[in-house]
Amino acid sequence: MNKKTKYILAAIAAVLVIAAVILAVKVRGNAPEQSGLIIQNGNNTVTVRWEDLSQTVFSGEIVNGKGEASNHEYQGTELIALFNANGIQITADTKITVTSEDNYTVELNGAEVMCDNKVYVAVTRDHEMIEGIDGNQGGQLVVYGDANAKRQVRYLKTITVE
Amino acid sequence: MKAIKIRNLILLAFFADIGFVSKHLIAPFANVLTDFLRVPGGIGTAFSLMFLVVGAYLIQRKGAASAMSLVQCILAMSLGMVGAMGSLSPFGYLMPGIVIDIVLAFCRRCNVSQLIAMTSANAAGSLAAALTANFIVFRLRGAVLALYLLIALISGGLCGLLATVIYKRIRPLYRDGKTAAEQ
Repeated sequence: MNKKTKYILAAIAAVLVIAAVILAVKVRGNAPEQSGLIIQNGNNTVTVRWEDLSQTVFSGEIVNGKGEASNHEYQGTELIALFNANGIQITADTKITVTSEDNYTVELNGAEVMCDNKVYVAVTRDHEMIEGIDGNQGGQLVVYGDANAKRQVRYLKTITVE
Repeated sequence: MKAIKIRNLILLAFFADIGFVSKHLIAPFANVLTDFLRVPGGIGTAFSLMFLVVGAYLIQRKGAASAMSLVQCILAMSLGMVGAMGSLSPFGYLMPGIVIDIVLAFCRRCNVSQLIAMTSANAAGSLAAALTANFIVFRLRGAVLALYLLIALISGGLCGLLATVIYKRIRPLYRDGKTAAEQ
């Protein structure tokens, strides 16, 4: 390969890299920050702002892995109400996957979500903000009636309905 | 049609496997960059295609890259690692392989240097993979699509350069059934 060809290839590479940098700046500038709970239902994705989730005050007993029970007052919304508000229809067989910002994942089924006063998304606990992984407002999944607290997902990020 | 040697088939299987595994190994590192750029990928695929390019250039048989991508596709389907493409994942695996074969055949016919042949084959394969993924899954448009394709093209080119380095290291070990004297 002669020197001229090398220069041409280097010039093409430089142009591509410059174009990529310009596009990256443009894309990052345009992309909205997704702050809130992301609900994925098939091809539809909805982002619900945390401040829109503080509709209900609820409390109940949560049992941890050691069998110790605790009772807290939360503010948030029942998951079925959230689905209904966003036009998401579920059945007893629907699989619902809840993922946190640190990629912890738990599963729920439609029957559990449709059960009254069982599955909630909370944004405050005992009148204090529930933090996200970045220290700002976040959310937590609250599931009553479990033998342990494995499904009380902190740093809530995504709910996928399948 | 000339029969392909068992040793070459084993080499093709090896490069297919290493390409398949490397994609999953590099994905967490590649995602750091692609998440920052807000594009759905492009870097990990370019890296995995590098092994297909090395294998296809080393074996010098028509359809070698397609055969390797078919093996990767079967592996992914059998292990249930089809990702977001689901049942359409065969297209996602086969398209880059076919494009690599076409580019390498064209370069061979035009007597293009090894560096340009491997770089352009890797870049074209990576671009084909990105376009296929976009068509099947992502449906990106405008600036985001342009950035995604550019990232795929640039990382494909860089991995193509890396492929030439790997090829130069491996080539002396591969004698194509000939003795050292015949070579």
